[in-house]
Amino acid sequence: MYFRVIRNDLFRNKLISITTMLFISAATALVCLAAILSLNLIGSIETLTKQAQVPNFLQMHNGNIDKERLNNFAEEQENVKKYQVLDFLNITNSSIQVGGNNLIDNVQDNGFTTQSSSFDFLLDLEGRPIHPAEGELYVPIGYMTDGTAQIGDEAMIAGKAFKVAGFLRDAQMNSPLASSKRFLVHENDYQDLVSKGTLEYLIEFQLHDTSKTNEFETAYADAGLEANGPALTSTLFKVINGLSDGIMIAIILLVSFLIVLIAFMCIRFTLLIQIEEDYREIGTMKAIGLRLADIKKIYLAKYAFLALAGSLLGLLVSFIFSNPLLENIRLYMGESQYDSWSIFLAILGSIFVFLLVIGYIYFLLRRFRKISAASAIRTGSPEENTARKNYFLLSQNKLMSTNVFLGIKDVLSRKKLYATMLIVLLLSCFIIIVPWNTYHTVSSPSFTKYLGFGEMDLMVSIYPSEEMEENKQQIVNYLNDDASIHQYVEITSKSFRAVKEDGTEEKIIVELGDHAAFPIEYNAGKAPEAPNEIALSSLNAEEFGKQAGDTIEIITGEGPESFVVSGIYSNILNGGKTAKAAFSDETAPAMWLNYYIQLNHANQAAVTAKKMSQVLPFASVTDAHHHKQQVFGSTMDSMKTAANVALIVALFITGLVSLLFMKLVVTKDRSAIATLKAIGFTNQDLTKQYAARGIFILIIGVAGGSILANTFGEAIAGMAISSFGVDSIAFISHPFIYLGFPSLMLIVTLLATKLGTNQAGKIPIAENIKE
Amino acid sequence: MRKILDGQQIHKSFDIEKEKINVLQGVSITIYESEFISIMGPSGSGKSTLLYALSGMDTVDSGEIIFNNQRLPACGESELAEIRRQQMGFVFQQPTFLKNLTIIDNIVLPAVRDNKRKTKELAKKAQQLLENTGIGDLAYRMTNQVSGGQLQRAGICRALINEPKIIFGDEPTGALNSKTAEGMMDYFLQVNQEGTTIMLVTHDAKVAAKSERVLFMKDGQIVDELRLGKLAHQQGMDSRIEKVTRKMLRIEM
Repeated sequence: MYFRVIRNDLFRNKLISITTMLFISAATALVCLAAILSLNLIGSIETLTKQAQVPNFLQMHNGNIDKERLNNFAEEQENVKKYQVLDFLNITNSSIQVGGNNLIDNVQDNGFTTQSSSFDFLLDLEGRPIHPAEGELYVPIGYMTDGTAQIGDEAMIAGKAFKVAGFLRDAQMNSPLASSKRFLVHENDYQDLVSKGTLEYLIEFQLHDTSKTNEFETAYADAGLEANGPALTSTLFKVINGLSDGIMIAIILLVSFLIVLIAFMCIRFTLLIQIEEDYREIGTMKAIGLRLADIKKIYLAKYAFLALAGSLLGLLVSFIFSNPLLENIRLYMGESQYDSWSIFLAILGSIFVFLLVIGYIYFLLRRFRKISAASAIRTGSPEENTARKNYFLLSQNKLMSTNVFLGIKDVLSRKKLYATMLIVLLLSCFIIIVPWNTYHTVSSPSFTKYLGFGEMDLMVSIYPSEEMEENKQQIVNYLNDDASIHQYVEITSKSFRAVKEDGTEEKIIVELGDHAAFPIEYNAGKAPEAPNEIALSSLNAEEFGKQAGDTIEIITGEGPESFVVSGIYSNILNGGKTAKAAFSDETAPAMWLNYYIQLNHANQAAVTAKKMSQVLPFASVTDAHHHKQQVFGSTMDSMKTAANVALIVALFITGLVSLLFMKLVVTKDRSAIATLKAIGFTNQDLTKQYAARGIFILIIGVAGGSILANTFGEAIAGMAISSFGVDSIAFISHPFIYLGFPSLMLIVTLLATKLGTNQAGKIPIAENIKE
Repeated sequence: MRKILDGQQIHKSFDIEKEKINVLQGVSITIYESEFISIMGPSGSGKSTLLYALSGMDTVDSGEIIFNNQRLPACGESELAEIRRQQMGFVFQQPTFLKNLTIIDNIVLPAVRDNKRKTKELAKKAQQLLENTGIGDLAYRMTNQVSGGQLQRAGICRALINEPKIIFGDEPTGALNSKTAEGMMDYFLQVNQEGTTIMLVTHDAKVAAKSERVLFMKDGQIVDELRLGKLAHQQGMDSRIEKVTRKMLRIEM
């Protein structure tokens, strides 16, 4: 019997049944996808970490190295399992030519190395350590995906010819967010290249007890060993590898949550309408003594069918879509060891959605208990709760046209009914605003302020050398003479030691100079101005246990000095551990020197950068816009795509749900429509009344959605952006986001309303007035 | 006497389960200004269909209907709506009100659409109409807070708010007890005496007996007519009822 009931019912409400099922499918597909992707991502990262044998602690060092001292340190430390120093031969990008492409515009530090003999292996796409033959060049995988290199390409590195023999996975530097990339060559070829570049060292340790990595890091710093460069740990490598896919998974999860909500709204609405239509029958069934549970079963059966079909379809779709999405993860990190587990988890996910839907229907069917058999049979429809205070009276209305009044009045007096559409519009608005605001925030020029950089056009850097003073003077002369330069500031990074809470000392890199010229955003407090003030990056603040207003002791050339922490800011460079201060200390040696430059016209950055590189060949000139584009470009592009997809999906949902909703409301309102027509309201009047309802709900929905987007949404987006190392963020918005997109929603809602209610005019008066 | 509504050779059919049912088969009817006319007939004879056709609420297959010098079949949807709104009033068997409006809001509804600026006067007028029907204190109640009889009276008030030329009633007393029905009919008579034309469709001989003229329908045609003349002070009601009942019995046989 259930089968017949279900079949008849599904056929009667084809459109709404299909829509409900599709929403359930979409929700299931997204939940399953998130499950498959996240488990595979974790699995692939683990596989890669294991195959490559990633170091637990890595200190990059630029400058001379005392290997014996390092050896002694490694032997003394009980926790050290393995230790090695790898070379990283930095070759200027303009000297790297792969196929037809010169890497001059590339912002990565590209370096050359040979295969390690003990750990930190560079792997081929099968996950095996590569041993190149002479003349062979293995290229980082990222240059394959962006089309820079192909197998078989001729390469010219600092005048030496190579052939691209394959691509490599680098557990440390795979991600575009890692600023260096390693190329792999044969030992003999490497010897030929050594004189053509500058050598950096990767001092690497594998530990017995990885939970004590932090202690080891401190021990290394305390031993005063080579440390001219950032120190990194294996946890960070895992995070960087998982980041971009992780953000994608987070977005999928968020969207699936919203789709589940929308599916619930659809179910709630259709179920309520159906109960209303069947009201008398339900009363009759109760009156003749059918048990409540039996009556519920009939309704449950239909939705259980839809939920089952929907979640199975969703599961299938997730399997189909998971492959292309996993491709990127597999390519960069290899196969996951959890492949079959992820399928299991996906099935669990679909069962979860199925049970969620069933549970929700049980929850909705509670209202059966409240139906009184007698009144249901007598009235045939639920008592609408309209007996409340008489506010908003037509007989006192002078402001609005009668049609607008009737539209708004209807919404106000049937809030429960319209809640469905309101929530869907609110969610749609949320789905549109949050990704767009996030994208707009990240792509805005002032976003760098959240990353610990001022809004600059160019940055010129030099490293310590014998000619440093001379070079400095040359740069300053150039900057003073070039009329296209609006302003510049000199920031020197120097290394000091700071005293921690427990009395131990730790290295701290402080950027010294005028920090007011290129202001940044502070999570707390403000920029350092007085000579006794210092601002800490949030990682350093955490490390030293300081908050804005606290004091910190730093050992300068004058001995221990007390500084007030003026502010805390986010920073992603140098392992995120930096500080900014305005004092001067001539005794401490400079680690590097940066000039932040603002041009009169930002669009001249590329041209000026080129000119400066020629005039100042000893300095590294970075076009800040280009740099940001290369580092965040692909992330920003995916964000823009996500924002566009979200816009289209939200508009589609808005249109579809408004259409279905209005169609159902018209069916429900047949008798009221007939009455209005009988007493002389035209079809156009009816359209206006429904449009007024739609617009009124839309206005509340957009307002609510915007508020939600700017509070809850900003918090979620903040969490996603925090993966860039930004701790707190306020949306940088654009008027179009709050005006243009709601206008689009308005057009879609009006079109859907018009389409959904054009049957209203065709409702015959005679048949419907008698009900 | 001036013709207010003139229908000639009206045909109307419905398709029910692929079968064509001719409900009105060439009905011709003329109603004069200030007349009180009733239509009687057995169930399915086409009385209500005729009423909906004459009031422009339903289309006809063929035939001519002229209301107050306007050809209804030639009018568009919005013109028909305007005629219904401004020149016609309706009272139905079941009270048809918007549930989310108060009684008084329902009454002013057909009038405020065109006269928003006069809302205050319209509300006053509606209140007066409610007083006249004896339910003045119910103006601000919701429709589910009053009885069926009271709602029916409110229905007449709504029909009168635009001072229509004609009021159509489709079994207006059908759902009322005899005492309430009697009161309703008296109010209809009073309105008629003030000059409004009234056309009722009814099963009830007592109701029909109060009208001036009774038309009898059977199988989609008007088959007989009874001229009773204006009712004066309830005199001769018994004999009027007897005449109507006898005619009706003859038709049903």
